[in-house]
Amino acid sequence: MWVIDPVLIILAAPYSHASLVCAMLGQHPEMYALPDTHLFLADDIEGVLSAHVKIDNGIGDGLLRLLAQIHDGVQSDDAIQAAKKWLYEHGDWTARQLLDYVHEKLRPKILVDSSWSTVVNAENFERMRRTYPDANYLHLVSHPRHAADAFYENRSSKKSLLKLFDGDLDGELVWYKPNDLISEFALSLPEGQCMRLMVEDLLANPENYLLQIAQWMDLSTNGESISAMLYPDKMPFATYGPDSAPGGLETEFLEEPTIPVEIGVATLADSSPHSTCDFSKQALKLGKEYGYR
Amino acid sequence: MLNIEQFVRIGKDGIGNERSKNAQSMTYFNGFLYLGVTHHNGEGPMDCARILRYRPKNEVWEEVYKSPLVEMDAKAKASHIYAVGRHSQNAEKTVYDKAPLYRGYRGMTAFKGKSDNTPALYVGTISHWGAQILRSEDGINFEPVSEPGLGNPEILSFRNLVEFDGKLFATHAGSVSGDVLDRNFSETTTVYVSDDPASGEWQEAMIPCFGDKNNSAIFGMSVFNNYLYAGTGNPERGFQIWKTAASGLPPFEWELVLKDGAYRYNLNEIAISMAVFKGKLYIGTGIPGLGYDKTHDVGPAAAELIRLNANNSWDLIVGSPRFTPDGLKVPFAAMGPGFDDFNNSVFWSMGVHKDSLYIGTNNVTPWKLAMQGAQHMEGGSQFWATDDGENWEPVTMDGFGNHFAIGIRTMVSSPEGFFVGTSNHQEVEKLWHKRARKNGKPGIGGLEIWLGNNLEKSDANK
Repeated sequence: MWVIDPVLIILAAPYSHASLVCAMLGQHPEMYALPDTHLFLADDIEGVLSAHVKIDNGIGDGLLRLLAQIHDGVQSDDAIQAAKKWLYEHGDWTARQLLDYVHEKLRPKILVDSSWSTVVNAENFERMRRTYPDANYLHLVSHPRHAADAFYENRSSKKSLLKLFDGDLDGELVWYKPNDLISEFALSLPEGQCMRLMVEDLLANPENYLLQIAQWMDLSTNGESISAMLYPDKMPFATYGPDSAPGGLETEFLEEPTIPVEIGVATLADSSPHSTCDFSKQALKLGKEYGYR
Repeated sequence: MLNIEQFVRIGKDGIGNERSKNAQSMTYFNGFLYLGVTHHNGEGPMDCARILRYRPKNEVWEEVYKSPLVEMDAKAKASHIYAVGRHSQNAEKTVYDKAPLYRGYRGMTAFKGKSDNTPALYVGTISHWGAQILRSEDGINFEPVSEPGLGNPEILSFRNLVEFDGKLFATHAGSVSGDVLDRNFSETTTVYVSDDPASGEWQEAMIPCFGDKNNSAIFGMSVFNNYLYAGTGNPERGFQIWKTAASGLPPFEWELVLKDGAYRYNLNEIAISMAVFKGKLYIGTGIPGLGYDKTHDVGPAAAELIRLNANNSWDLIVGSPRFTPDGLKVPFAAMGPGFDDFNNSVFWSMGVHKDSLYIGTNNVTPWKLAMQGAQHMEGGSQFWATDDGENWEPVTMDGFGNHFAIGIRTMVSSPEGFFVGTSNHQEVEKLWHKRARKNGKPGIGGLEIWLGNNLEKSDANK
């Protein structure tokens, strides 16, 4: 519908199942799901690589695995090394140049990106906005209680978050700040360029919502295309990569790359085992606007 | 459809009282247009609400009823719930010892009940001591035919009076408790029904709040496809639409047709206006206040237009595209919320005249510009029209040339033409003059009534 840039960018606060949804959408025959590339961490690839080293914690794995896959068709340690070398040789490229290059290799498929670093830092977000003014944006939301609990329960991903997140970080802010930023951004766009989706709705009734996403993107809506998206585990990055780049997507997805049978039900009034504080007024307001109880 | 050139103003400056800001209810009865005017507050005798009538043939307005006065008390001075304690007493303000029993009339219809020899005019009042229903057989003499609030004196007003299946249905709106007033919401919500309103006998037609305590009011109500439809206001989840065949004894069985503000959640807080047009029910949404409900911290957002089909399916006509359990919804009019104007906070009124559907908005642009002290004033209520429900054209974008006519509150189709009543807020102009340091005096203010028909303007003025 609004596809001018051949990219669908999933904008989602951490712990919103963005990797899973990205992988699902990537199984549509006209789309290709990228692992987390984190390409908006800097203005050029050299800067991105520096940020990867600085943040560490495997944040560069996704980009390496992507290049290994499209260059060599495999994600071996050798292919990862070659990808790393290639990246350093193209250090002056912008994110746009690199993604155009990737797109050229995968044409005519639309690329789907869900890198979480884009939404936790205003500078990265602005860079994404400048790079892809005409992309389709999917604002994926999850219940703030789930996000808060996941934040407290997942120590490994928290390390990277702490290095990138603007300002203080806690179980509420990890949900509220990115979503507030995305909502403001959505308001600035033409109606329909950014569409919001509750991940709980999608996972509870995937055929219905995947069909709608395909309609919105003006993609094929035949049964085969929609059914294909029910198998995120077929994504080439749906398992851990080689030792030199094992990550690249959310750990929860790499551990269990399928659509969960059941999703827990939470309410805004639920107490948390991790925090004695209730949600703030602003978080409750945003949660209700998204349709959460 | 009518265009701006086909409208003439037949009433202005509050028609005899500039404090009469709001043309809140109208109906055509026995060859007259009847108008119930509403005052923003009931500060003294000058705020006695009036019922006026107008005979198009001789172009004369006539006052047929005026609210009685009662002793001033705390309820008369009740503050809106979000403003309690914020306003200091103005030492220069005159304090009156009498207040109007009715400071407005929120609903009006002709209906023939069991005790009525002929159709009588029934009017829902706004009263801080419990709203009442007035009745007039001849259109001149009005008598209350209900106890205050139908037994609940905290009921501020009766908004809808709708005939269906030989019965009259009434919805209440707002509440007054002690010295606190809420213009729109109350703790309990019901629809009342009577087949003999002259007798004062009413029954509850639904279970309270439709079983959801967040349904804090019924806003829109309409008859469509042999059902009575009611639209709620729900600050938590967004409006709900219910329908009933009203068969058997009350409370009747109601079916939930649409919920969660058509999946825009509380940004579609209320379903306020309804009209049946070419076999479909059109529903206008909004957020009370200036597009931001301070009491419940909802919004800001602009209004949407939803179209309901007889089989309970629905279309988005004006609004935000979205994913829903009922499929992808993209606005048929290819217009975003508020007819692409963020400041159209409510699609406040809706009416059908001849083969066209009309929507009147509440537009908050003048408020915002006045607050900012902007040098140039813009906006005012908008009036949109369509012949097919999907292609909309503006009739006026600036309150018929008056920026401070911020809302179009009511409209009535009649053999004499299409009557449109405004809500004018001259305090906005006063604020603007002050903040923008404007020379000259603000205008007088008060509601306006416009009459549109397909005659040439010169003919209409004859």
